Amino acid sequence: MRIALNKGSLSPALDSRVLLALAGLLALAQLPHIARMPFWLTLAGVGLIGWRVVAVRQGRGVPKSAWLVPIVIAGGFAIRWYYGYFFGRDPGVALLFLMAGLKFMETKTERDGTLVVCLAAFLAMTQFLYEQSMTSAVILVITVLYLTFALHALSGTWLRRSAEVTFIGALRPLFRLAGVMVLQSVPLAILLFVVFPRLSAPLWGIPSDHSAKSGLSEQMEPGTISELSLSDDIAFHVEFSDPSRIPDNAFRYWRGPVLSQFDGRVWRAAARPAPGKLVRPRGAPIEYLVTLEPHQQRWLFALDLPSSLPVNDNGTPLSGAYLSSEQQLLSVPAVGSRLIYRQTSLLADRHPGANDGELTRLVRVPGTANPRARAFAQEQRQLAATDLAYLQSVLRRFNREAYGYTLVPPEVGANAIDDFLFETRRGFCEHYAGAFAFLMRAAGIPARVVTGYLGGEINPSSGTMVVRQSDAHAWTEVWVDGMWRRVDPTAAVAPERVERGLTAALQRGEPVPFLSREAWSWLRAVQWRWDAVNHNWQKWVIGFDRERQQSLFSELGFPKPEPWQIAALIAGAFALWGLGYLSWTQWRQRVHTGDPLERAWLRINRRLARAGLPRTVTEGPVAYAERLCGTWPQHASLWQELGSGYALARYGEGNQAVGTAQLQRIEAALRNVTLENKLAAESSHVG
Amino acid sequence: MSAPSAQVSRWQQLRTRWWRLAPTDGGAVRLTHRRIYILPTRRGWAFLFTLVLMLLGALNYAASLGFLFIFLLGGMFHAALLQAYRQLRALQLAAGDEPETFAGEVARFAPVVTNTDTATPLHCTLAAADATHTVVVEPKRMQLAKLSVTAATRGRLPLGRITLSSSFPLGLWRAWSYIHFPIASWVYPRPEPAPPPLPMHGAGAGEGHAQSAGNEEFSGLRRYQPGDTPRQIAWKVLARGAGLHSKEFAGSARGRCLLDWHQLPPALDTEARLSRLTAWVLVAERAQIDYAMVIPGLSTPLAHGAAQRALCLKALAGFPVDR
Repeated sequence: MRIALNKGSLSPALDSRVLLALAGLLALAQLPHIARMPFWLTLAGVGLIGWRVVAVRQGRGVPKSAWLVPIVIAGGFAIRWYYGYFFGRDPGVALLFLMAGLKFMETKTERDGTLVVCLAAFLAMTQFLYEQSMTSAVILVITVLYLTFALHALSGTWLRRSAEVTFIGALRPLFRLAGVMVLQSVPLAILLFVVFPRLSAPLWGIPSDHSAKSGLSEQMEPGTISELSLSDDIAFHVEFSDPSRIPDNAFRYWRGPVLSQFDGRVWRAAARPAPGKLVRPRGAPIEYLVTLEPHQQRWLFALDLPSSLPVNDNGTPLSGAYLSSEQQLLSVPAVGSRLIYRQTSLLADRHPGANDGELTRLVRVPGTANPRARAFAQEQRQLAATDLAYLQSVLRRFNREAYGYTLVPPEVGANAIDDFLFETRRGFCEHYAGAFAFLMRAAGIPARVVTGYLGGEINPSSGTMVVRQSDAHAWTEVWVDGMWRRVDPTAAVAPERVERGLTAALQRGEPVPFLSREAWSWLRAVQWRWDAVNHNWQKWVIGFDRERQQSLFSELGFPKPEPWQIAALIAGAFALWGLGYLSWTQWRQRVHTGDPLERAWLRINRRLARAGLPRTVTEGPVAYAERLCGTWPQHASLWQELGSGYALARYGEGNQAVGTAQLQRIEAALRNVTLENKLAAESSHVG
Repeated sequence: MSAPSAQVSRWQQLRTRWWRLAPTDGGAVRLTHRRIYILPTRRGWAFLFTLVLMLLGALNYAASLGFLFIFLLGGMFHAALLQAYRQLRALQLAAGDEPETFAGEVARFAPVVTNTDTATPLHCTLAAADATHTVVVEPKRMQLAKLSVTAATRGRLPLGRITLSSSFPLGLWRAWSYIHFPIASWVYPRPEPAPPPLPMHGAGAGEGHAQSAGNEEFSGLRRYQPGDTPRQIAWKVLARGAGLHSKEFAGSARGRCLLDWHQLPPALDTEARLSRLTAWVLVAERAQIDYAMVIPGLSTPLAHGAAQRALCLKALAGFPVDR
């Protein structure tokens, strides 16, 4: 035990300035995590570092390691209790957060310092498991620079120099060094980023994200969509392959969850939608690329009506994606990370494809609620000649009578549809879609609610369409004449909503999503520009996944590189970069050495060294010339001129330009001279 | 003659060459890629291991920025290799002068480190035997590295193989090179701490060793030699710009002594005799007294001065060890 302790103390103790540098590194690594950590953990992790910094300032020592064991155990239990599980990302990061602080508190030696740097690097990396914005990228660069500095400080050379000069004087070469090293690493990092193989499936489970995301849900009751309408969050981006075929606003129905189950109050999506077949209406499909923000749900979006299954950007089928019998695109793994897929659609508002069993379920109106609406539906159906005529009469009613479109509808009672239809007459799209589907079903006509988004704005900076949560919409599909017809009752009430978007449809004084307000147009311009940059960032940097990598390889002509080829490429790049850098520094050194006189002198020195008679470090030009005369007396005049010429030009009265010319003349003369290798000559004398 | 033995000797040769086990370097050695080795330090291995763990995490969560962070650090790891290598590449090392010392003290070797780079200061550590010294050599400058090797026994103390290393700037890599100069320090016998008075002959006989050079008559100047005391240096002459000289005093006329091995008390063993003779040589030199030394195998003429001192001390240092 004693021996081990002594051995530990062999590692030199850390200077207090190095400790402060390490504290800065830990703070930099902990800071991005603080918002996600429970309060007590933040307090513990940051407090431990602060405590040590104060202790260093006051010249106090470190606590006995006996104190640390209970803290570690207590921390572990507290984390397990707080998160409910132990093995996973969040508790893992929390534990790392705490351990980094604890390790710093007891850091004494250089070896401890190494561990602190490694823990801090790991902790800094974990922030990118949560957040990958451009702000994170700035933090990334700062962290890499600081980490370089911390390692340098830990290696001790910083202190040796900083002891001699002022603080700022010590920092400048430091930043220069860190900057140069990071710049050196950038090309290799980019290459590795592009070619390093990515996994198609995670090595171990990714914990599901429990935080609620705004977006559509699997059920609809009054209020679910109007809540979304105030959110500026982006649902997805769309890039159309042919910009001339971008549909008008009135055709931008992005089909999402189809809610075909009604319990008398709430519309729900089928729990396990059966797979269905693509219906192929005639026409030329529109092709586009969707970048879907993660929403933790199982559905994808496509323009109504999808005419293909989604594929990856490189043309391979999107794994786990399928089409339901309700013509809804679904994904078997929930969309937990940003998803990019290519999709085609035909702008059709009617389509075939239903079986009888399905249709009988779609007329169910369980319960006894809303008696007035039921009676109204049956009565109106009797009056109309056909289903279609009945449908149109209901729409006419919405259009002609005093129905209003508002985000803040009045309160309704238990018979919500009755109250809405006959009393308040004011509601949002979900009220109209829900009531309309109810009226159809009550009259024996199969109907369902379709949710999704209506609209999307083109970013003037990039030409990309942005669909926001505020574009969320609900409409209906009604089975008439052996066809599903898209019927949007909101269009009958507020045609502006369909043609020009939400803001146009709402009355003055209604709450409006922030970015939709006219008064903020300059802010919108900035927002658009930012969104264009951010979209490209997400697409090319963050979204650079296995599929994008493979399509890039294909474009470069290497569709399926073997692992060893990638390894060879990486190794070769590292070696070439290193050799290139070293040769460049050597070349620059040669070019920038001294003045022309010095360079000519060094060139002649090298020539003579090759001939076997190098100048020694301490030898002056005259002494060297004497030695040369002794070895190669046949060129004695040349050597004398060399020695005296250089010495005079360098140290004496001689003119430097004249001296340079003289040396260059000697250099030229030496080219025509064969100098017998001195070493070989010596050995022949001995022989 | 058999193949294996030839193999072994070839292997031995390679080993000797690679690890510079033999003192084969001469003059000034310019370090080249052929003799620079480089490996990660313990911190380097720990850092690399952390990078691998981080990579697993980034792979699992497909975190693009995580990859970027790790790869930047990986590139930095590589840049640290290049920098560590650069520290040594531009260095030149010369053996420096052979030092002299006494047994029990340290031999101060001073190899000359030259930075041939024109822009970058170079950080390196020299290590040989039990001595290490870290130097920072500014561009186009040379610097003496101080290697203080403990001299335990009299004789010749070879400096042995110098390990020139650098882990600048991040301590993640250690680049090193072996240089083996054929230089050694003379280690003279340990002088007896309180030797008896000099065995004087002639005018100074019986006066003891405590003669003060200051009382003597100035007789002339000679060139300064290492070992001369500051009091002997002719400062006025130096101030005139005539170089470093030492004053000589006509003390030799006032005494001379014979340091005879055979006249030492028979109870003394070899090392004790050598110690006493060494002490006497030093005393006589300090007192500027002419002396002659007689030991088995050598008898010197009567003289004093640096040449006489070196002749005697080297003979004492190299005296065969008792069996």
